[in-house]
Amino acid sequence: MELEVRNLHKSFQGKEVLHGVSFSVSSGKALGLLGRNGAGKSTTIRILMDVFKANSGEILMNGKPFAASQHNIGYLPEERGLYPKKKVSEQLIYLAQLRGLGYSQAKQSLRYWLDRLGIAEYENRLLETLSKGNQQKVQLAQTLMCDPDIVILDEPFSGLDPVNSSILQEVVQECIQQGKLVIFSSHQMSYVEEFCEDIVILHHGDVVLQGNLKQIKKEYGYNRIVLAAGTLTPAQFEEKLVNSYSDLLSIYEKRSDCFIAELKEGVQKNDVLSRLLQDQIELDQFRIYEASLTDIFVSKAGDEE
Amino acid sequence: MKSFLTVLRFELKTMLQKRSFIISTLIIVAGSFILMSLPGIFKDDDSSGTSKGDKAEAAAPSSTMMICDTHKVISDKKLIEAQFADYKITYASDAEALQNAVELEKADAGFVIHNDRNFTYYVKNSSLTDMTESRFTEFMKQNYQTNELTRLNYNANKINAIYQSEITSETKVLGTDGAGNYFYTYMLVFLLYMMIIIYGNQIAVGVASEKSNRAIEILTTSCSPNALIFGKVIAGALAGVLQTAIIVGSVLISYQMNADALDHMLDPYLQIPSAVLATFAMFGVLGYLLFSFILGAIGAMCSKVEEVNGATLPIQMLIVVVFTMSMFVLQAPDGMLAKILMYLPLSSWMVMFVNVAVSSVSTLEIAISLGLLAVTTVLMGFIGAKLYRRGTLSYGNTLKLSQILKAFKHND
Repeated sequence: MELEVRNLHKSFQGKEVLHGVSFSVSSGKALGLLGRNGAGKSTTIRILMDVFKANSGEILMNGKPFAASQHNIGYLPEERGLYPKKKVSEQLIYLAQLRGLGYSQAKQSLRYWLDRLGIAEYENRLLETLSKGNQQKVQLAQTLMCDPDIVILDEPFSGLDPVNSSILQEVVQECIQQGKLVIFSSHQMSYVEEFCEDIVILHHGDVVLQGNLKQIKKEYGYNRIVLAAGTLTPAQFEEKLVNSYSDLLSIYEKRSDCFIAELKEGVQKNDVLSRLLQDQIELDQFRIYEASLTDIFVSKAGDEE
Repeated sequence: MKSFLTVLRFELKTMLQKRSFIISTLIIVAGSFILMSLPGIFKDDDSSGTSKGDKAEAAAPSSTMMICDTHKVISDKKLIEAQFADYKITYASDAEALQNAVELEKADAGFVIHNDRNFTYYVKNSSLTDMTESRFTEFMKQNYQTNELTRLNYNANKINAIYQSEITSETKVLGTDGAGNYFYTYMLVFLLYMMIIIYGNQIAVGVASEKSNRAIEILTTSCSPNALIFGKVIAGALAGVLQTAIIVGSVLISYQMNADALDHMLDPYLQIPSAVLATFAMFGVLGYLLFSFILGAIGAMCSKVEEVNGATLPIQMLIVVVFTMSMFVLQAPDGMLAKILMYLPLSSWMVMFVNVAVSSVSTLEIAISLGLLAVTTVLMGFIGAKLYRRGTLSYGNTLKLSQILKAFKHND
């Protein structure tokens, strides 16, 4: 399966919030939809789920128009909510039946997922009596009970403690391994880095960056090195780099414990290393710079505050 | 269809499991049995009391009356004793003695007869329900008429018999027995009115609560809004019909159990013609569904449960107006107003069966009105579904009329 989103535009009360969002994702891969609050992640997901209609643009599945109602989709909306005064089992079976499962199938699936998520003991408890974290797990069970081909998770990690987050991580990994098509939005870059092959960064309704995460990281780290001097203070080292190394590099970023430098055109890493050794500067760090997703995200979507 | 049945089953189960539903049904059922049994219980007590004592003693006068008739106006004392069998009658020698007796509560009522057409009534404390004076006036009138007829040499008994002769009659209703149908029509109208007011509001609250607890997004992405709104509204309507049937059934059963003690007082009102019942069932159910859909749609426009009461107020006012109009039609069934209201879907659900019960309506008129009501109800169901769907887009916000209209225009 390949899901392709093409040039989505959406306006609310005359204000355009999506300015032509496009991306694609295929089965067995996870797409991380990243962006700050109000970037348009949830709106994009809701258009995918047919909660909203786009003003223009199209969504295709294997090249044909996509209709959410015709696919088995597990959806965890950003606005979490079920029936607080209903038993966990009662409402999960109801929602699974609405999505096509028979009663016994739903019951079986319920048992599996409650057990898998460690909340089997709450099967017959009212939802409102559960902690927030466990209510989140019930929501996740609801999402996955119908064994969906497409899993769409909007901010799945929000409100989860580290233990529950790691359970969710495992579950998402399993979904990917099972060949499901996974789309999820998140603020937590570490999770995205861990299991997303592709990312889309939205900023004010525009796609500011998208593609294969490894490739993006590589491109961001290209021609950049990390430098830290052992004997010099950061100020002395900075002065040295600016005054004596400007023919080889320029400082790209200053960090508390190191500098990220960008090599000039045609300069090799060994050229810099030779000069540093020649100048007898004791080095604590000299390595190729690998951009983290947070770095990439901040550089693309961090123009405010 | 499968989704609709799933929603219907879930919602119906939710409503029937509500504590408020179970408790209110049990209280009303128990209350009706207790109320209907009360006359029987008291009757039994009364009869057991009389069986122990002397019947003559039981019929003994409970009050005392003192009469001062110094001018010998009363021609036959047996006559007054017969008229006031519930009084022990004594005679005073003068007005002062009579007054003292009444004041000291030795007599409950005192009459000083001045002449054959004038008397004074003495009582310690007067009350609105005291009929003694009017009864005595009636007696004095009869006494005067008898005396005068005798004085004029007429046979008073014969003349009285002529005046009291009874005329018997029988009414053959060729159309609709409006007078006879009045009571149960009133009861059915009131029942329908109460059902819509009570259960309609519950449906609106049910829909709004899904929006406030955020389940609506999961629901609308899991099945069609039509299945959801139709399932919810019909479940609410069924719960209402079921509770009403239990309550009405328990009243009827308890009445049947106590009919003898109640002297079969409700029997004439329970003979409802099948045509009226059929019209009530068809129009009542459709009207109930129509307003349930309207109230469900209003529930979808509210962002919180607390907003529902305020938002449904205009519809409740409309229901009250229709109820008032129906009462008016019940009084004047053949007027122009009745003819107009029985075709308007917002009023026909109540006015039509009032018309059928107390007036003559042709089958064609009933069919046209029923068709209009059915189409409007189904249409309202789809509008409700659209609004319910639209409700998912406005978390935390109450929808404005302009947004609702825009939603229909742009298919948002």
